[in-house]
Amino acid sequence: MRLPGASALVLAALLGIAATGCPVRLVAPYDPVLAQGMSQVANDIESFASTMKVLGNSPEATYLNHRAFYGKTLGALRSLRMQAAATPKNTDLLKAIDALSENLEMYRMLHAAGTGLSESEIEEMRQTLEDQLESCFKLLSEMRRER
Amino acid sequence: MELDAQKLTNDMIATAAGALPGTWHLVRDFAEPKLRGIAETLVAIEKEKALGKIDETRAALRIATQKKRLESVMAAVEGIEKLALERALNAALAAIREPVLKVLGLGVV
Repeated sequence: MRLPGASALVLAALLGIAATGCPVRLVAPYDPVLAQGMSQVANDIESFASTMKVLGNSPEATYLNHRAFYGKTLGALRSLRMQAAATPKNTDLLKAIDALSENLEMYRMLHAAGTGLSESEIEEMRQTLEDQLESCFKLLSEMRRER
Repeated sequence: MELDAQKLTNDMIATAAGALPGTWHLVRDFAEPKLRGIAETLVAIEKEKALGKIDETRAALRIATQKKRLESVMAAVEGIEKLALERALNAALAAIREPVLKVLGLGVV
């Protein structure tokens, strides 16, 4: 049986990999420091969302009273992004972190505009950011499984 | 026309499952509740806008957040799919290792 050139090359590469016993890596290895950083961001976001829920429409809920949270958390996410980007094949985790950062920035804009965040927007923000954090953690936990 | 959360959820699930025919079962339990949450939020935003509680700009920004929420979920789904492929590939390579080494006359190292 004659194999086309490309197929023969792929087969040769696979046989070579099989012979060496080195595993194929399609996704970056699990990074515990990155996971720890994500946990800290998750704690900060959860704590902020709970505080905002308690404050409701009170004067303490204004953007000016909470802008430090946005600055700190967006900075932490940028730093985690840099860390993730330093490892090859981390594309999906990077996409998830980027989408989370972009959303935090959009909620910052909503908070800063007009009368701030309404009760339904605070709950929406909590659910949205929570889902995005869970997406990062789900991926990290799958990366952690034996490979 | 009012948005229907159930229809929106079903459409999103059908599209995502159709794009990942072989691996959707691996991510279904994770992804389906997330897609349902996005659909319900979009419906809630549309209702607030229809009732005049929020203006066009605010509604657009909130809809954009749901697009980013979907991007995070789909990034996790894609990563899980790649990891499943990686595991399958490595299991297959491990299974053929011994015969390959024999053919090459190297024995099992």
